[in-house]
Amino acid sequence: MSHYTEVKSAFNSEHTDEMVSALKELWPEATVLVSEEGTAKCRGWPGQQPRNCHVVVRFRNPNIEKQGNYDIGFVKRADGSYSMISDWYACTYPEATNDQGRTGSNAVEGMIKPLYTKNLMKKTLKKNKRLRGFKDISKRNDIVTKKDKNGKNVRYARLRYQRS
Amino acid sequence: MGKTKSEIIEILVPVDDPDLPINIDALNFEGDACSLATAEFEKALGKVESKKLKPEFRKKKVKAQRNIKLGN
Repeated sequence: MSHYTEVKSAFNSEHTDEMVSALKELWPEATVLVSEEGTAKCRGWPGQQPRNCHVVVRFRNPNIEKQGNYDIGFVKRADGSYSMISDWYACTYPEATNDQGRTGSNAVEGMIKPLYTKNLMKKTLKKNKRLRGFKDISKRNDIVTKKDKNGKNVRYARLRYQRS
Repeated sequence: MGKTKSEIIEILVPVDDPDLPINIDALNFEGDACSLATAEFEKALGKVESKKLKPEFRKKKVKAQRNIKLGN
């Protein structure tokens, strides 16, 4: 049976704006709900109660609260990080599927994280005098593969910043 | 004397396994300038899991490279 699963993520509530921007950039057709009070509803399988979240991405029928639409929610935790919540088994829309055909929380976090990191870097470069002069020279969808210590291929999104 | 190369900071974000650390590489910095530059990035990205200082880092006034891995 389908059910909600909540997993920890690398996203932090100190950088909510950067996370929301990343979600909007990744899924321009989706509706992103933001609730300071944490009352945005993350919809899932019919028969279950929707979950309350601080940020929710709605891929289908954003204006109805009916279950049977599969959203991805973000909940602030006591340590300031966000957990991600969804009915991951059922949230298999093409938008929530990565370039390797994978769905689920790992795939979705991996899709969001490069954009989130890029937004964080943009904020850091803007705020910090020591980093004055660095320009973002990242290419879009620049994926590199490296071997880990066990010889397994690991894929990374590459962000690059240059100062002449 | 050759032209000084541009300073580059390269960040590698794992896309398939969120538990893997983010890597930061600082290229073509002189001495410990890379530490000062990457420290700000580290602060924004999270705690430092491990740091690998490339041999050039220990030399004075030479081109240095630095590699840092950040946890979640």
